[in-house]
Amino acid sequence: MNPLMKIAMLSCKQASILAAKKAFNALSFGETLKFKMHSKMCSACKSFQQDGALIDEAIEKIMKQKEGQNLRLTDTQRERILKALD
Amino acid sequence: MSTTEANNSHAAISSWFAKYGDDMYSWATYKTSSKETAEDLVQDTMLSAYKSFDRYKPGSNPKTWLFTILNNKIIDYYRASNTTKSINATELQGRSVEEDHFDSNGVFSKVQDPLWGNTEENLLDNAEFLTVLESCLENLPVNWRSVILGKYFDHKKGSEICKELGITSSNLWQMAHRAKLQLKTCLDQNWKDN
Repeated sequence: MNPLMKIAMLSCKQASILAAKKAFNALSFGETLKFKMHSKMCSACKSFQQDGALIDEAIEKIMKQKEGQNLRLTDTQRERILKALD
Repeated sequence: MSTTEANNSHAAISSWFAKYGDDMYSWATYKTSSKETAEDLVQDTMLSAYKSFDRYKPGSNPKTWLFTILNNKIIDYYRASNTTKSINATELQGRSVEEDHFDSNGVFSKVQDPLWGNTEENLLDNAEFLTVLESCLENLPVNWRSVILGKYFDHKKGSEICKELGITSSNLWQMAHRAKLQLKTCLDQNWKDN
C-alpha cells in the first residue's frame, strides 16, 4: 500500500485520540508521524487541535486561579464537622 | 488509648481543623467540583486522622499528614463513582459525544469553526470565556473530570492517573479525547452563541 494512503486511513476520530495520547507524551514514532501528516492534510483536525490547545491553556489558567483562591467553611459546616469528631 | 491520650488527640485534631480546615475544604472543592462532597471528605479526613492519630509522627508537618489522608479520600471518591451504572452512563455519553462530532467513518461531520473566530482577542484574557469553560468542566462526568484535573491541576503523569483511577492507558486517552469533545460542544453551545 502507498504509505500516503495508510496515513489517509487515519480517521479524524483516531487523530483526536492520538492528540489526547500526545498530551500524555505517549505517542510512538509512527503515531507521531501519522498524526502530523493527518493534521497537515486535514483542515477540520487542524482547527480542532488549535481549539484543543487553547482549551488546555485555558484550563491551566482557570486551575491556577483557583489554587490561589481560598474558600471558607461556614460556621455551620465547622460545627457539623466538629460534632462528628465527638 | 487512655483518656488523657484521647483528650490530647482530640485537642490536636480540633486545633488542626481550625487551622487547615479551609485549605482542605478549598482543595477538595476544586478536586470534586462539589462543596457538599468536599465537606463530607473533610469530615471523613478529620475522623480518620482522629482514629489513626497514633500514626502521626510527632514533629512532622500536620498539614502534610492531613492532606495525604484527604487526597486518599478524594481518590476513593473518584473510584466509588466508577460504579457499573455510572461507567455505562459515561460510555453512552462518550459514544454520543463522538457521534455528535464524527460520521460513521470517523470524519468530522461539521465544519470546525475555531473558537478564536476572526478576532485578534486573546481568549485566555477573556473572563467570560473562562467562566463558561469552568462551568463546562464542572459538568463533565466525574471520571473524565478527574483525568483532566489530574493532568492540568496536579500535573500528574498518565501512569499515575491510571493507577489512581484504576484504569488502563487506553481508557485514559479515550477519556481525555472524549472530555475534549464534550468541552468543545459545551463551548460551542454556551459561549459562541453569546
